Amino acid sequence: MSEQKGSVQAYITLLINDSYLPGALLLAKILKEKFQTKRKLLILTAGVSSEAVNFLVESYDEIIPIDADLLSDTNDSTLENLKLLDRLDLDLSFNKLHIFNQTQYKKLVYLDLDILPLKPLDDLFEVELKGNEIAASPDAGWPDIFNSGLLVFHPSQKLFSELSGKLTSPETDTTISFDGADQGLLNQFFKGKWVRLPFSYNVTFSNHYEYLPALNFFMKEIRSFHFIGSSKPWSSFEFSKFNQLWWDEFNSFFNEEQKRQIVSLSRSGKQQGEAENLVIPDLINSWNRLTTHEDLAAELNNKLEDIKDDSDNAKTEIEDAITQVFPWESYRNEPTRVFPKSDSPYF
Amino acid sequence: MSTRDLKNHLLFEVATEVANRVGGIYSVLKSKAPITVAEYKDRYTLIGPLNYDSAAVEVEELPIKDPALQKTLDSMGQRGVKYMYGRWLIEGAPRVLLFDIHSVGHFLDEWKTDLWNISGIPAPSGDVETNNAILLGYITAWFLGELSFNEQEKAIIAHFHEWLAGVALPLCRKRKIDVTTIFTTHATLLGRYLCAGSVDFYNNLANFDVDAEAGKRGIYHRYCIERAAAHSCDVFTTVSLITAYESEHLLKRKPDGVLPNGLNVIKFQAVHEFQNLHALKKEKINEFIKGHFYGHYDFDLDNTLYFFIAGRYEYRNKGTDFFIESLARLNHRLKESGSKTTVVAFIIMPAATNSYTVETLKGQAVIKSLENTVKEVQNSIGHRLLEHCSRFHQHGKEIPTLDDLISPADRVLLKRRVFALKREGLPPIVTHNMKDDANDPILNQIRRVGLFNNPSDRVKIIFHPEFLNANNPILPLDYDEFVRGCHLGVFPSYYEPWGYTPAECTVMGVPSITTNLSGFGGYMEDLIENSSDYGIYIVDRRMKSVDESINQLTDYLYEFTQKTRRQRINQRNRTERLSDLLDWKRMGLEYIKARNLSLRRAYPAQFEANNGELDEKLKIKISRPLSVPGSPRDRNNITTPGDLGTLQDATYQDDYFHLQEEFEEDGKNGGQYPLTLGGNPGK
Repeated sequence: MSEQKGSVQAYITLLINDSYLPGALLLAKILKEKFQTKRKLLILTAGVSSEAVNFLVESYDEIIPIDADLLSDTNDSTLENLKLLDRLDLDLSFNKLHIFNQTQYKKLVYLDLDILPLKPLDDLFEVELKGNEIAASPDAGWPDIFNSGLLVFHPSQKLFSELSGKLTSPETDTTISFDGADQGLLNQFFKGKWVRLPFSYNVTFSNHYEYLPALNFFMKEIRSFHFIGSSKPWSSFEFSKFNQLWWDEFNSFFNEEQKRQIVSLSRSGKQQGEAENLVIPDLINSWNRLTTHEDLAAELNNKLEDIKDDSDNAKTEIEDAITQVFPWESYRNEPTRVFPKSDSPYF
Repeated sequence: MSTRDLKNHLLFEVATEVANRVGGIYSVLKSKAPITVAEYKDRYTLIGPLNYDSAAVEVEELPIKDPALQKTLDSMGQRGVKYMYGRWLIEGAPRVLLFDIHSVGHFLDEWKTDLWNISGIPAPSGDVETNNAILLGYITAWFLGELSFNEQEKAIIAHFHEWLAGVALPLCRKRKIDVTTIFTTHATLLGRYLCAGSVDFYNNLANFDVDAEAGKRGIYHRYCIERAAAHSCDVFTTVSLITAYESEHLLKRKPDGVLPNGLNVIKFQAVHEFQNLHALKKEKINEFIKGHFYGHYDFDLDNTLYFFIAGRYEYRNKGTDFFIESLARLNHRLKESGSKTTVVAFIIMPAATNSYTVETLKGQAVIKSLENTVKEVQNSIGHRLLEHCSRFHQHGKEIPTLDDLISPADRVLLKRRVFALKREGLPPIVTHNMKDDANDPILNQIRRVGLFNNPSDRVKIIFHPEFLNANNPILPLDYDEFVRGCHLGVFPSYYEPWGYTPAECTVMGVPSITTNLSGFGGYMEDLIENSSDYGIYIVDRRMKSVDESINQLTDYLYEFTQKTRRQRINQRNRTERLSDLLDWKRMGLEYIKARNLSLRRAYPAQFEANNGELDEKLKIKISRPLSVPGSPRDRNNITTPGDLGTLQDATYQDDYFHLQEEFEEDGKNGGQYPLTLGGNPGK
């Protein structure tokens, strides 16, 4: 019985480029070695280096390259929405749709690579789905939609072609995907066909808002933790309790050398310098720049023009606005120095 | 139009930290005082707010001799202004004039209204810092206006530091007070806040909506004061090129120039003297290490290197995150290469604590009692040895056995002391009980990278969350002594407008690591080639990604651990030679030129008559041919033509002003503390 299940049911995930490799490897280790699942583990890959594949073959039962059929959105408005989200890295997220095309399996559980299972998840395969329904946990907060990081569904050719057809459809407004990524598309597509799983299967917490008392109280019930946002535990140098959960697991499965290799593979892709846009122009101190008589004369001439303007009209205007606050203002002398004309809006 | 004597002008420097230490400005003023006094004598006066507590200790009251000053202060005194005039008891002994800003507190509302009317700067109630800045600004403007009436012979230059002293600048301009003005910002307000908030600061520097960002952080009014000061002064300066760029974009005025901060360099008679000091201070650190690692003291102190980071507790701005991460990578590399070298890394950053941990105190105590016991036993052994040998004829045995020398009682005593060295856990990573142990970013980072002072670790870590002090029970060293005892200072800062800490290392002949985002790093990079040969390592935090920068830092650390003792000594000698570059005697020249520029801009007619030159001496200075570049090589000559002479035999005999240092004291460092000009938002 379980043998048969194993062949028609599987976990599936998606790795686009090496940057999520640490997540992919840890996810497989946890499901297979820690929770001893009998189901197969599948991974769809695109743009992954051969070194990364070497690591993946040890952990996954099947690696399915999808480089040849990359799905990208031809629609400009989705790109605009991604800019709004400041997450252009999600541009390739539509490739998640390929999971619906794995029709050699009856039932699949999809997991994002930034999900850390804290308890076994095999009971997800028991969720009853009618026809083209999808099961998922709700996203945190508003609006009332599901988070697309954990999905249970029956793959089908029809589903896949309908979904991928959306991407090339002539519709140009936000009716395809309100956020420009897969989550919007799937939510709009599966509207009314969503089987709601408990939030605890896919707990999304932002690092900025931690509802700590609840977390402490319900920690035992959490099935998996989902590291949303652009900073992932393996890419971040910042410490947080949640990141530590991930690192504790990671440290327990890999030795120092493996860790170093895996993490550096995941980082080799992005080389953004911390201040690469910073170009400090040469600054020659004014007192050194104005050393020749010509330079000095040029600045002096400019100044004198300013002064003429100043004495002609600006004087009365400024002095009118000033009321006396210091005693000396009633008996002061004419200044011996000159003042440049002030056209600054800042004082 | 009458005019003033420009050559013998009066100089006032205005700041909140005159005779009152709060942060870095205090050290700038204090260390610069000797050269400024040498140039101006009694024509130089510092102005600041009167803090009765610190003034009582730092200032000696003097009678006022100058009649114009006397008249000015009398007139102000009649209207209730309280002040103190005297001599600041530091090297150089400059005159100070401290105003009690609370004696004019009743003017606050009137002055706030005036500030709004003349310059549109809002001043919400309840911001004490801003209120004090307004009081100081108005009282300074009052003083300068009154003085310029009473003193009509000499020109007056007023030099203001930081926005806290900057309110007077728009007042001087709007009310046309007959003084020339300079404003120096040592960091920008907005820059500090933005960096502390984990913003991608440098990549977006040119694009911030400054008003909105200041508003979001509740500092709009402070920002307005800073910006108004920058725009209303005659000469606007800052401390480094990177801060100049920051100022241009955040304050919207390109600075006229850079006035880098110098140090008061102590010259030893003989070069080897500072090397001896290193050995001496290192011995003191060794003592502490023996106690701290009791029971785990299994490494060779002669093959141990001391690294440190120090400064205000700004986890990200000061690069503490980089330091800890690179230590972890260094540990891995040292272990992999089978190195015998041990690195002890100190983190000296004050945080909220509940005093020392018992474990820390115990460590020092058990080692002390072992030492005492060993001394006693040593004494009695000596005694018995003498007895034994002098009675040779009695027993016929020339050399005694160990049993003859150590009595059973001594054995018991020694054993007891040695058993006391046993310990359950590992040597602690922190010396104090932290107020918020669980959320402390430094501790958490150390925990994450797993540097727990295990015997197998080649890198050990000690976090000392308190500034150092010679009266400290466990590490009894002043900061400068500690620096001298260390091998390498590591300051991989992200935001560091100048960077006094690496500069201090340099003048003490201790190599250091800085970054090309710090003012100091940029300055040294421009000035010398192959700076790492001179013990100034510069980590690239601009073009490299976080990971690459940390690798580079790790490479530098690793490379340093591979040096032989002899190589390190040579490097320290070279580092110490750079100290002339950072001496105020050299750095102060920029101040002189900036003051000259303010006069030129205010009195163009007098300069025009003189072909643009006021002072024959200045003319000589500026047109002087470039000195032959000594080692290290001058990379480009735009910073200060002619200033960088040979370093080793730099004498200032030929310089256009030769210092008569009346107050020079031997070997007395002004107690420079890890001063950082970086921000501390929220305070």
